[in-house]
Amino acid sequence: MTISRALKSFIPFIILSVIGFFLWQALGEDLRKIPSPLINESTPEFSPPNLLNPKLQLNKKLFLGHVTLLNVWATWCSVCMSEYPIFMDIARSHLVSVVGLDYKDERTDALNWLHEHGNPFNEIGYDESGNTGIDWGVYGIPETFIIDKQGVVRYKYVGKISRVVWEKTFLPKILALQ
Amino acid sequence: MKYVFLLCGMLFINSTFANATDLYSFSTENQQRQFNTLIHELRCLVCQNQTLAESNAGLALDLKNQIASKLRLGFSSAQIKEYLIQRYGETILYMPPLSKHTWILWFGPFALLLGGCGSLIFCIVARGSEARPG
Repeated sequence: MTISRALKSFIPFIILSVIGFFLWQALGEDLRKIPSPLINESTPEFSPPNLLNPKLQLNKKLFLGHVTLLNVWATWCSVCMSEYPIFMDIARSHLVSVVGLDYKDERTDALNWLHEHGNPFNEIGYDESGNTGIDWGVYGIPETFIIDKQGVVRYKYVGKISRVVWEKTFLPKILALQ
Repeated sequence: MKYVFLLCGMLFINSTFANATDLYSFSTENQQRQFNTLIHELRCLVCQNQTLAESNAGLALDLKNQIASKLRLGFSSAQIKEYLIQRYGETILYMPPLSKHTWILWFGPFALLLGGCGSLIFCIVARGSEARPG
């Protein structure tokens, strides 16, 4: 067998290796996560009623002047409830302003939860219809946004914030924005 | 026996053909048609292999309500799609748009198929001409 024939017989192997590499890469990704078009844009409209006092409305000016975490949660969402302790810790650290959006929830359930487990949020919006959520591209809570001092969305995380996620993903980004 | 057949036949009356868009009423037929088209062109982000038309997920119902109310307010289909793409990105389009970024996605499989067939034919012809006696 000549050298050129031997080399040619490697071509299918090379092609398959390249395709195999992309497969291996894709298998590691959660393809259900959707990239957010809000990144590096000013925050969308944010004027839900205040959960604690529905006669008042929140305003997106609340995101200006400090780094903010906006956490979209609900009492019916068990994963949201399981990341609660970490939000209490984040609030106690006073590192960021923590704003909550109670999404498609029963107001009384939310108030009871806060009363029983404590309130880590500076402000909480009550999105009964889910329309505020639509403005923020919410599709699978819990979802948490990092918003910088100028009110620009810098990062979106879908899923539970574990301690590891907090330390490796959130903390560096937040410190860089301070 | 014919009653057995009749009963079996009744099982095939497929209730999923019942048009879920009957729940949304519009003043003009044009709006109704636009709604039907839109909900088949947009993805449900909860059950991501379904269109909004097929899905009963909470978010799908919310989005259908939003689309219906925007149509009634006079928004065009293009404006409504733009509204959703602004919030959810192009993933919300069930069919990826045909752009210079996505032409590989659209034409790649066909190109690979043609390439594969081409090299197969080439191999067969080449081997055929080798086997022919000198």
